[in-house]
Amino acid sequence: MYEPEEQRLKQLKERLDQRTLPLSEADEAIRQGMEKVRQERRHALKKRKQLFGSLAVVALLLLTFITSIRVSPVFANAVASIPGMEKFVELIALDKGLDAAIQNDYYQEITATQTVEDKTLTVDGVILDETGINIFYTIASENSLKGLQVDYVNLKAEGIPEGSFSYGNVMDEEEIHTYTDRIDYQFAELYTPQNQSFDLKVAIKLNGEETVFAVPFTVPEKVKPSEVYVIDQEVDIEGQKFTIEKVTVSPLRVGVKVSLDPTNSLKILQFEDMRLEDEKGEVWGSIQNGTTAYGGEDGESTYFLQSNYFSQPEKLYLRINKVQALKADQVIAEINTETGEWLNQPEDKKIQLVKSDKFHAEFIMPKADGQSFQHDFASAIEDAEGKEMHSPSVGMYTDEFVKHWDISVSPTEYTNPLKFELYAYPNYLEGDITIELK
Amino acid sequence: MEFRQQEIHAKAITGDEEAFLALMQLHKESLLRTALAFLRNEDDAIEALQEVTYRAYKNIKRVKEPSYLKTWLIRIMMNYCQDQLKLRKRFATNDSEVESMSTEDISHLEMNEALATLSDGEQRLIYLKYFQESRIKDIAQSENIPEGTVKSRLHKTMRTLRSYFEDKGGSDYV
Repeated sequence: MYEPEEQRLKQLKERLDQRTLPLSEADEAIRQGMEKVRQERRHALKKRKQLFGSLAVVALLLLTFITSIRVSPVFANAVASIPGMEKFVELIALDKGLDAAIQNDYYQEITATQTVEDKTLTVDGVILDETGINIFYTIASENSLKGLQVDYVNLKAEGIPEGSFSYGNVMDEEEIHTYTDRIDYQFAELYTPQNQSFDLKVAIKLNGEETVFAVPFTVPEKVKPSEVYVIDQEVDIEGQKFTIEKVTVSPLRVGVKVSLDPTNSLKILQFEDMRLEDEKGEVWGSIQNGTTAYGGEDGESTYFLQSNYFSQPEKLYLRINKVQALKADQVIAEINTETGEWLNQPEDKKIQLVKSDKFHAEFIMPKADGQSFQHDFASAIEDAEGKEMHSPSVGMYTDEFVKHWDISVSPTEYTNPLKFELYAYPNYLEGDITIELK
Repeated sequence: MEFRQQEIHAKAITGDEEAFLALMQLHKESLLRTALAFLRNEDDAIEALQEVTYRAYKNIKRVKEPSYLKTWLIRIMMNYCQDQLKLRKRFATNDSEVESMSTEDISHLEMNEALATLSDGEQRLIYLKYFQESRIKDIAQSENIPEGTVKSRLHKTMRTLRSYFEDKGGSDYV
């Protein structure tokens, strides 16, 4: 019907087909395109890794991951001016409480070291209080530490309670000779160490070989006691009730103990913007890099905020405007990895299961605007028969406006549907709660 | 060969790095020719291939049906090229070149001009049908429209091309 035009198109195609192609440049272009993605993924994976101290004590544990850290120059200069602290600027940049502890000389220098073959681990210093210990350390070697991974961490002390560790994990494939990081051990209950002596064990893997460091150290200064405000006040947000029981202010963090009313129609998952404010409007928000809450199955949880221990406000308020909540029967998500169905998916479909097989399930949030929902929302997984699966490893990344969570499932012998508790979901209730602490 | 291609496709959509590289090797020529058809310049085509590799590798796990992978890649390439062309829209054809061209070249140039007057969707349709020699079924999948719509749009597009040449005074070299 359109022969002349088709003929001309065909000639044009033939001519195009006859062109010699720059194939070696093409190979290089493909290599570079793939490398760019790899770099981005490495960046996304450079998150803090969390280990459970004990599942029995810590039934629920919440984390916020920060993948890239922006450090303000003013802050960097202030911290870097303290001898020995230059290299840790990034590790405290997200926490005003830690910053204040360091500015107020509560950071205690240790410099205990152990050398194993060509590698030396130095505990540079610690911040210790009744809620936990943050250990700042360095691993150095004459040889390259490219690909180093922290395999496990252990900390012993007389009478030390159960708790949770969090520490960084190197994913960069850069040629490095020193690696600095922070290990946080957070006690499940307040603890006052008697002699303040600790034994730290750090196992690293490099090129398939394991090196174990064992470094004993003693913290010189006595820990500062926490201040406890007993509140016991019931409040509500869009009709969902909860009680603020007490607020414990310690140098490393502030713990806010909350109990939920079991008769609520919705389950509150997260107190997104819980914060302390003083009379001048200065704000201390939630923990940005580390454990953000401990919770029990009895509806009681403790949420952690950045500490204002070293500030001396005249007035202090606890404020909440926004919480995350879901219907109770949607809190335990049930997904069938074979059919790709999310059986009790919340009606708003803000998060979707897009792909799944025996080994993994990929969720996306199509309209993830900016930084507003930064949670790694899945926790421990069970199968349909109640068999406990390994802690899922979750790869979280954002491309353009879509946020992805790629959850790996193991072992692969299980009965569908899989069940896991959602501890975060982008459905919000709003209100205005202000409690005067002093 | 066909078997191997299926195997590569199936493995590539799981995000497997080696399979993805094999996938790109398999289709790099088609992708380069696509880029050349739209951008007509080797350097730009290489840059396009790098960008398309990046976009494809990043999103490969979203592809559900391995047999559509090739069309999917070509589609990413066409979108990229069309965006690039919009960025440099103000670029006029250099008329002085025309003098040294054969009548065949002029015919091609005219056809390219004619194609440039089509909408993005129409250009992709022509490209897939006549350059990639894709099946109507695959085009329908790639453009996410029913097969009947592909046929009627092709028909309409060819009519547009014809009237373009008729308006130019019937300079029909075939």
